[in-house]
Parts: sequence; C-alpha cells; structure tokens
Amino acid sequence: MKNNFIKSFCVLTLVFGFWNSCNIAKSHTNVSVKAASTVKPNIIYIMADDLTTQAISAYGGIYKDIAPTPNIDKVAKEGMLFHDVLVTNAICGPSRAAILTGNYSNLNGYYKNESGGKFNSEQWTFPQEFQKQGYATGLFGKWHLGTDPVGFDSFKYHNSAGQQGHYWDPLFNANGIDVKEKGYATNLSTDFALNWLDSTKTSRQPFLMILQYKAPHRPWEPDTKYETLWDAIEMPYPATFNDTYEGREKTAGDTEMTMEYFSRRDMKLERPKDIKKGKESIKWDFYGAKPGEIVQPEGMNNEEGRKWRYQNYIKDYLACVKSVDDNVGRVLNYLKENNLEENTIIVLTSDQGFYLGDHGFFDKRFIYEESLRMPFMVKYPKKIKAGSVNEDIISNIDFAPTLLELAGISTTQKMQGTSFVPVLEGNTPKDWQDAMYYHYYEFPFWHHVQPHYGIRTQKYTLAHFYYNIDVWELYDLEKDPGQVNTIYNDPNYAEVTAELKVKLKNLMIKFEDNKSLVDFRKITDTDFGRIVDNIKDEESVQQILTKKKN
Amino acid sequence: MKHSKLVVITCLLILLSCKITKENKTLISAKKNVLFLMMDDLRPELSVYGHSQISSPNIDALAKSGVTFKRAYCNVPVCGASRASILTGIRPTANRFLKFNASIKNETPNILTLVRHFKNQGYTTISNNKITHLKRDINEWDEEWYPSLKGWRDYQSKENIHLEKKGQHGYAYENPDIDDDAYYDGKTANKSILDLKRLKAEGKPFFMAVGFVKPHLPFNAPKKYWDLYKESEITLPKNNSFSNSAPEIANHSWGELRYYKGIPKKGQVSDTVAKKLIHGYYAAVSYVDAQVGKVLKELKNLGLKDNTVIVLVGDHGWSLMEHGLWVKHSNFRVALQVPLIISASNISKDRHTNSIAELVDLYPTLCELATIPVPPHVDGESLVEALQTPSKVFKNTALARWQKGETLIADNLFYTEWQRNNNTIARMLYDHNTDSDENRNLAIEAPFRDIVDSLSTILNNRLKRTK
Repeated sequence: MKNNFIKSFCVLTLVFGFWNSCNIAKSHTNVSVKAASTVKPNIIYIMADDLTTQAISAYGGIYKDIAPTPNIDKVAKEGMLFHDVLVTNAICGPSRAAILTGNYSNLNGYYKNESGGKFNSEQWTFPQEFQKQGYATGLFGKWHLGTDPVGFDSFKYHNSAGQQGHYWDPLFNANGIDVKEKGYATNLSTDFALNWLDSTKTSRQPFLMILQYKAPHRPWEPDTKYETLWDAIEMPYPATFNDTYEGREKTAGDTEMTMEYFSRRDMKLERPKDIKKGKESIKWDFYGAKPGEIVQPEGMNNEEGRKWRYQNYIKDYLACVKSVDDNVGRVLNYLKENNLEENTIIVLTSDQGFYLGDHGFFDKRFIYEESLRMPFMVKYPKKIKAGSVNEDIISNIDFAPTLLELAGISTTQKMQGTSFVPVLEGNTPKDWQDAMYYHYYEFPFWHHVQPHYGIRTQKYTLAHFYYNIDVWELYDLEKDPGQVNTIYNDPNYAEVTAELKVKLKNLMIKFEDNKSLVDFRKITDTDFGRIVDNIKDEESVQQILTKKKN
Repeated sequence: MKHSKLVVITCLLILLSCKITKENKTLISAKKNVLFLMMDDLRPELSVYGHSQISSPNIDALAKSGVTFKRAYCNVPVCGASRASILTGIRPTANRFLKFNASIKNETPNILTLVRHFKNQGYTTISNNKITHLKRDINEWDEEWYPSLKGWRDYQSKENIHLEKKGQHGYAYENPDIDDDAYYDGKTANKSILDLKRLKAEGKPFFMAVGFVKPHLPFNAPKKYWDLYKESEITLPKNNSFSNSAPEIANHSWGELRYYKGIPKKGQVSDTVAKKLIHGYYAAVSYVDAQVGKVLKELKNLGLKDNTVIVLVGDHGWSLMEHGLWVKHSNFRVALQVPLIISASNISKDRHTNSIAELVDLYPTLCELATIPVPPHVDGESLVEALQTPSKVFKNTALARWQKGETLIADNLFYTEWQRNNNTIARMLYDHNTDSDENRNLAIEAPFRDIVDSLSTILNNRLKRTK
C-alpha cells in the first residue's frame, strides 16, 4: 500500500516535469495522498464463568492428562500465558463490573451478586468507547449485570434464572427481545458469535466481540455427548482436599461451600414426578445446600459420600469445560478460515478462579489462590511473542485500559487500572505493581464466606476477615502454596506483617477504599435490590431456602 | 526498635497518602451540533462561486461565516449513489453505489453510517425530507420526516396538475404566484425551524440533516423567484454542443429531462426552451436559497450557531447545456463539481480554499468538527486543515466515477478512462488551467501519451486500493 503511494507520488512528479516542458500548463504542486491510518486490530474477548486454572492443561495440574484443553492451550502456545492475573472481588457480577469499568467495586457500585442490585449502566464502560471510536461491537452469552448492555451494536445474553442462564434450551435477550433457543448454551453462544462475525464482514469496521460462556458455572450440566465421558475412572483429588481448616476455623472452616453442600440438583438426582412445580420443586432440587442436609446414596459412610459427591462434581465440571474448549476451537478455526488471525487479538479468561475440591471447596469468593487467580492468556501475533509466559501481578481492573491501548484508543476516562501493554510486549516496566488489593463483600448468602479485604504480593497473602469476626491471616506462598498454614501470629513474620499492612493501607487509599469497618459492613448489609425485577411477590431461591417455618 | 519502626511506618503512611491526588471528574467536552444541508442537483451556480447573475444571498451569507471549497467534487454524479457514499464514508466502486437508487442497506449492510455513528455518541438524529434517496435506508434516524407521501414532483400550477391527472407528463418547470410554503422545500424549512426550537429546549447534541429538493427537476418555484431573472438576458454556454474530440462514451441522452412535456425525445432543445430551462434552474436556486436562509436565521436567533457545525453541500453537479448536455450523469466537470460550504466556530470565516474536497471526506470532517472520533472504516480524509488554513492546498487529488468511466482529478488535470474487458476503450484529459470548459481532449493528442500513461497508472493504482 505504502509502495503504491510512493510510486504514485514519483510518477506524478515525473508527469508534471514533462508537462512543464510542454509549456502548456503552468507550475504544479506535487500530488500527495495521506497515508491511510494504521489498521486497527480486532479483539475477541472470551470469558468463561468459574473456569479455573486447575482445569486448563496449559497451566498443568492434576487433570491435564485426563481432561486436556487443547484449544485453550493453543491460545497460550501462540500467545502469552499469565500466571498472576488476579480478581479484585471474586464473584461473577462484581468481577464483570470491574472489567467493564476498569474500577473497583467501591467506584463502580457493583459489590455483590446477591442483593447487589443492578449494574449502573449509565456509567462509562470500555465497550462504549470502542463503539464510539467506530468499532463494531457485539456481546454474546452471559452478561449477568441486570441492566441491558450498553455500547454494543448487537447483543444476545442469557436472560433466565436471574440472568445466570440455563445450559439447555436457554432463553436469551437478543437486542431487547427475549428468544428461547434450542440446544446447549456453550454451542449456542458460539453460534451467535460466529454469525455476528459473518455479518460484520460487510461493515468494514474493526470489531470488538465479547463472548462470555455460562459454562462451567453451577449446576455443571455437560453436553449430552460428554455426560458419561469419565464414568469409568476415578478422578484424582487435589492436595488440600482434606483440609481440616486448623487455625482457620472461623474463616475457611466456617463456610457453606464444602463437599457437604452440594444439592440434589448438583448431583443430577432425578426429581420425583409427584413434586409440584414451583416452590416445591425448588426446595427439592436445592436440598443439600443448607447445613445439615447431606446428599448421598444410602449406605455410604461420610468419607465415601464426600468422594462420591466430588467425583460427580468434578466430572460434570470438566465436561462443561470440555465444551468450552471445543467452542474456543471453533472460534480459532473461524479466524483461520477467514484470514483474521494476524490482526485479531484473542483474550481468554474467566470471571475468577474456582475450587475444584481444593480446601474441600467448590465455589469461589476467597482471596485464596484458587479463586483469586484468573486464567488469562492473550494471543496477538503482531505484538506478543508466541509461547511466552508472564508472572507479573495484573488485576481485572487492568483489562479495560489495556484493550483500549492495544486498539490505539486514548480516552480521558479515569480508570483505576493500568494498561499492561508493555508487559504483553515483554517489557515489564521496572516500577510495575508488586501487589494487588482485594475486597469481597457478599454475606451470608450464598456460601457463608466472611467479608474480607487483603493484599496479595508475589510472596504473601494478607487478609482481614471482618464482618462478624476479626481475623487476620497471613500466608507465605513460597513455603505454603496450598495456604493451609496461617502465620499471622508467627513472631518471625511480624516485620513482614507490618510492611504488608502499610502496603495494604496505601492500596486502600489509592483505590479510594480506605473506610471504616462499620462502613464496610454497611455495604454487606445493604440490600441493593435484585438483579432482575421478578414478578411481584415471587420469592427468590434464597428466600425460599432461608424462609423460617411459621 | 519497635518504636522507631512504628515512626517510620507512620511517616511512610503520611508521605504516601500525600502522594494521592484527587483527580477531577472527567470533563465532558460539549459536543457540537451538526446542521447538514443537503442540496439536490445544485451545482456551484451561486453568487459566491463567481456567478454574479445568480441571486443567492443566504448561501452567500453562510459563506461569509465559513469556508467555501472552490474545488469540491462528488465521487459519483447521481443522487442515490452519491448520498450513500457521503453517509457511509466509503467510495463508490464498480460494484457499489452505482445508480440513483443505490441502497445503503442492501449494498453495504451493517456499515457504520454517519447517522449511526453520531447516534452512538449520544446525538439526536433527524432527517427532514430527502437525505437518503430511498426512504428508510438508514435505521438510526430518531426521526425521518417527509413533507408528503404524494409524488415527488410536487406540481402546484393548475396546468401541470391537470396534465398529470390526465396521465400525461407535466412541464419541466412552473412559476405560479404562490407562497414559498406551497412547495416541499418551504414545508421542510418550517419543519426544521420547529425542530431547532425543540432541540434547543432538549439540550442534547443533535445531527439534523435537512434535504432540500430544489433545484432538482422540475424547476418549480414561486413566480417571485422567476422574476429575479430576465429570460432575454440569459445566455447559453459557449460549449453548447458535444466536442468532436471527446469520446462518444462520454456522451449521454439526458433521459431524465426528456420525461417532461415540451422536451423532444431526441436531439437538442430549442434555444428558447434551453433559456427557459436555465431560467427555471436559476429560479429554483433562488427559491431554495431563501428556504436555506430561513433555517439559518432560526439557528442564529436561537443562539445555536456558535455551537453548530453547518455544512451546505450539493450531491453532484449538473449540465446546463454545456457539451450539449443536460442533467448530471457524466464525467465532465459540470457534473462532478459541487458547492461545499462549511461553517463552524473554530475555523476560518469568509474564506475560499483551493484545496480539493471530495464528498467522501465529509464523514471524517464532520466527526472532527463535532469533536467525536473518526471511525477507522472511512475512505475519506478530514478537511479540517483546509478549513483552518484555507490559503494552503492540503489535498490536490480526487476520484470520481460514472458507470464505466473512472476519473482522476490531479491538480488541474482531469483525466478519465473507460475500460471494457481490461482494455481501455476511451480516454479524456483536460487541463483546467487552460481549458476549464473541457473543449480540447488532450488524451487523443500524441504529445500527451506519456502523461496519459502516467495518469492511468496512478488512477488504476488508486482504484486497486479502493476496497
């Protein structure tokens, strides 16, 4: 292109030289054309829900040979794999809000899933900026923020079960209209995404496509073809499966997310036909979620029951991941077939990590490693060296400024996050952040995890659990990667603790979250409303489950 | 020991907390409104363009408040195609935007139109009368208004109405003694005035496109505008027959005009009819000028002018018997050149520029003037430099095409070639420094063969680059 331009330029100069010699025309200026602006990259942002590093073979781990993820691994192999991308508040909605705004919950106003209200869609989000700059923008799959997505030319998001969506025959909101689709959610969301990519071909715009899978979120329903995939084998158990929570009785030891809290629905037990639809069936399905309710086949002892539940859970979870991996493969193939690989940035991540029996848990929420660490990889052949690995501390508020910078979009919008484009290019700045700030608020429903804030450096995790307890925990991640031994009261770590507390305080000031515990508790206690406006008087699952008998 | 550490920590805390500065909330820069005045078949036959016989006081006044492009060219000389190109920001090619009924929706589905782009930035978008040629060709107008759903010829004289009723064709003009508001353009001006009042009250930025339909055929205008001109004083152009040196493929039979009563099916019109037509064109120009004036006056009265970017543009040129031709539909200068006047608070006032403008440049220009981002898909270049420094030439080439004829305008050279099966079958080259009427086709003269080859190379390289 540039060559053509130079050629034209030279030729015309020649023309005019000759012209002049003919004495027919007078002087001429050179003909010039401005060089066309540099080509903007396309961006495909793929985010699964509750997908954790332990389930991705690129990260290694105990399932890598039994349940590999070749397509996800391909993104890592052809791009950069990140080991220390951390979530600022490890649950779905708040993580999504932080990603969209580049700001912590205390600025974006979205603190909790349960009674967290709706995301304030009047605020700035990064897709709006892409749209304004002339990008074609699309969103497919899970949104889960209550309000309609803003900044998208086209969207189609899960709009059933409080926007959690269903695995089978899900209801979607397609640009404002509810449509029920036949099929399996992970495949369907990819269908929508690829159809939309086809339609943008004629738009000549660069695109930003956000593809967010419901999978592998609870209730972990696999595609039919993977339902019995691992029936014949016993899945391995993670190292901390039998965590006794010693020294952490009030925190890790006081949750409702252990192997004892799986419901009948989680275990795919068939509901008896005589159970009435509505409240009755919800109660039946969710049996197991409350303390004292144990779901297991008759005749099993406690340990056998616990293992049985884990095996059901992990097989279903990994089967859901397998479908995600298949569909990532479909997206990669599409890019290849349409010659889009070179100029398309692929980001693959999850809203946070998840426990796969680690600490005896399922679910997320804690500042502990398995839920704190997000799977994260970026492929962009033009800027990122294939097969590179990064261990810098990055958090989900850094995504928005990074994506904008990659697209060459400058904005005056204030974001708390920092662009890590230099990290992607392999030039981590010397003064790059060496710690991240964490704050989780939701309590007691779901899963009874005490609100806590904390700091995570590459060596330590310091957390303060504060809601109706006052417990500090400190972990030395080098000596105790499994985080089973809190050393907060170890005098050898007094100095470390003091330094970390200063650092923590500074981060709280920096991120404008330096408030009193009273104020923090208020956020936990505040009912910001439901994520969707239910029909009047209809009870939520939470209300049905926690309702006291009259 | 313990005490001193505490002091250090406290000091650190104070130090670090001092480093935290509260940033101000992001200032939202006030977006500029856009008033887009789309003229139909208006060539630069205006006083401000040196045609002093024309009475166009309102457009001339607009020129005083902005910059007038003396060398603005459409990219395709037919209504629907030219407008589709303007509104999508992409060039017409051999495969798209070819005819009067070009469709944005069908030919470039999903394209980020100028309208959608402004709407995405929070603008109220209004289309009053003819902006796209096809109705409902852009979905993102908040309002797409038309003065009437009846026929577009809008005859008001008894004679023409009678003829049409009988199933015959009306004349190419009429001059009844009626009010401005009797015709669509008067109604469109009134509607736009009401809109401006409402838009001001609402306070949101707006993109208001006003599509006037004169001086498109038929040349219907109230008598008072005809009376501005004496038919006896109207002269026919000197080059009123098709030049021997021009290729026959550049010729056409101006079918659009032949529809009308009193126009022969073949051959040239009589000098009397020719003068009548030119008179009618002038009257229609003066009529539409008055309607433009009403809208601009209201904009000023409402105090909106300073915060509004005003663009007045013709969709393509028109032949008033030059080369023996009428209407548009050719690669001659008269069919390609358009009036283009842009006014905004931060650009030069009362200035002309010789920097070339193509209509495909309007999209990025409007974005820049309105202070919204220029989307990456557009083919044109922003003209803002020329608006700020009109004395300098920032751009000196343009491309235009009509059917198989591809034109490269390179400074004063107007070069056109026609291809069939990858062979060039005809060429035209005019030097506007010496022959702005385009009477001597240099392409057929041996001494210019090298120049023609070079221009052809440049043209075809450019065409290859146009997706």
